[in-house]
Amino acid sequence: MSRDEETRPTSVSNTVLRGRVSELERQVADLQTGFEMQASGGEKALLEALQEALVRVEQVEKENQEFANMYVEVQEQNEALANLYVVSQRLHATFELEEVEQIVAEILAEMVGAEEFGLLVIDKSKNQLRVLAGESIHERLPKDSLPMGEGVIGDVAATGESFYFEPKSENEVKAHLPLATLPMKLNGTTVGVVVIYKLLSHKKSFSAIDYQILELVATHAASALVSARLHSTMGRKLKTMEGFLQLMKSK
Amino acid sequence: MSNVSNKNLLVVDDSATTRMLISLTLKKEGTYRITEVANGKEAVDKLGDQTVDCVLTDINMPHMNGLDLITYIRSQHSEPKVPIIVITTQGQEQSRDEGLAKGANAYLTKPISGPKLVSLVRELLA
Repeated sequence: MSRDEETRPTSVSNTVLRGRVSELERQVADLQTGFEMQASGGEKALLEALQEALVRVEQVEKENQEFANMYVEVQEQNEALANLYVVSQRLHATFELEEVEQIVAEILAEMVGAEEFGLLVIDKSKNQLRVLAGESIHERLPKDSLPMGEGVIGDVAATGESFYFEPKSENEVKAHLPLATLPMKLNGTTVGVVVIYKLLSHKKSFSAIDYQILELVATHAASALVSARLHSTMGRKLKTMEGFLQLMKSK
Repeated sequence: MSNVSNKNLLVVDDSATTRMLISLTLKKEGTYRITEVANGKEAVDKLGDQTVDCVLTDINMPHMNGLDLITYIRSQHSEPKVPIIVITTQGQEQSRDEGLAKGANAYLTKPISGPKLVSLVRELLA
């Protein structure tokens, strides 16, 4: 069912209303023709009242259409809010790194409709990007890592600027450029990149809400990934310290 | 218009993200009571515990998949038949058709459109 069909009850009312207006207009025309020559004062007043009523009906029809448009707009905003709420809730639902990766993958696949995508993190010590997770990403990036500043992904990681590409011709499709490449930023520092190469075949392009979801994923995935990493590091350190304390006690 | 309030919906999907999105979308529509489970086996347990007015199920799930769940529900010969909506992703057309053949009433394709989901549930519960 399309959005237009969602508003069908209102459209049907409008059609009925328009039919009535046309009918009334015909009646007014008849009245004018028939009565103009012989109408009394009372009848002329009635005619004027009828014409005023017709003008009001047209106004109501216009208002009705405006309300219908507003309803569709509110419905779209509601859907967008629901999507954004789910994204932010899910991304901060865990401190486990693998779960965060899985959640990002779920969001990209099931909410945005991405078929081929990846999540890459910056390895500052090697000045390169490393593939962390994704779907069919190894077919696109067989090396598992790429230097900072190289290609679209490396460029986005280096500059911190998002890149969107909508192929308009077969040649542009063959260019195999990613459709969306977004920097994952934390406190203004780029920590990784979200890249989408291909959407599901029934999805021709990103929708307005997709762009909002992607921007939100890029922002929140960064903090979720960094938090998960810190949590993991702290957990390891805690275990080491506990082990060390046990050793001290036993001596 | 039939009253679709206070209906019990069972959402079956191993993706917590999809479950949350479906629940949130339907909850804000009215007074549906929504139960979420992660696979067919958990769904069968819930179906034994409570009355369910509509089932929304994914296909690929661990332990017990959506097709087996549909087969189980339809083998129970409950009257009236519980409406079942299959939720599929692109590329699962065969499974989707199999789900419909096994007795599912309708299907939705991910990414799920909120208005489509709402109107389909309303239609099936009307």
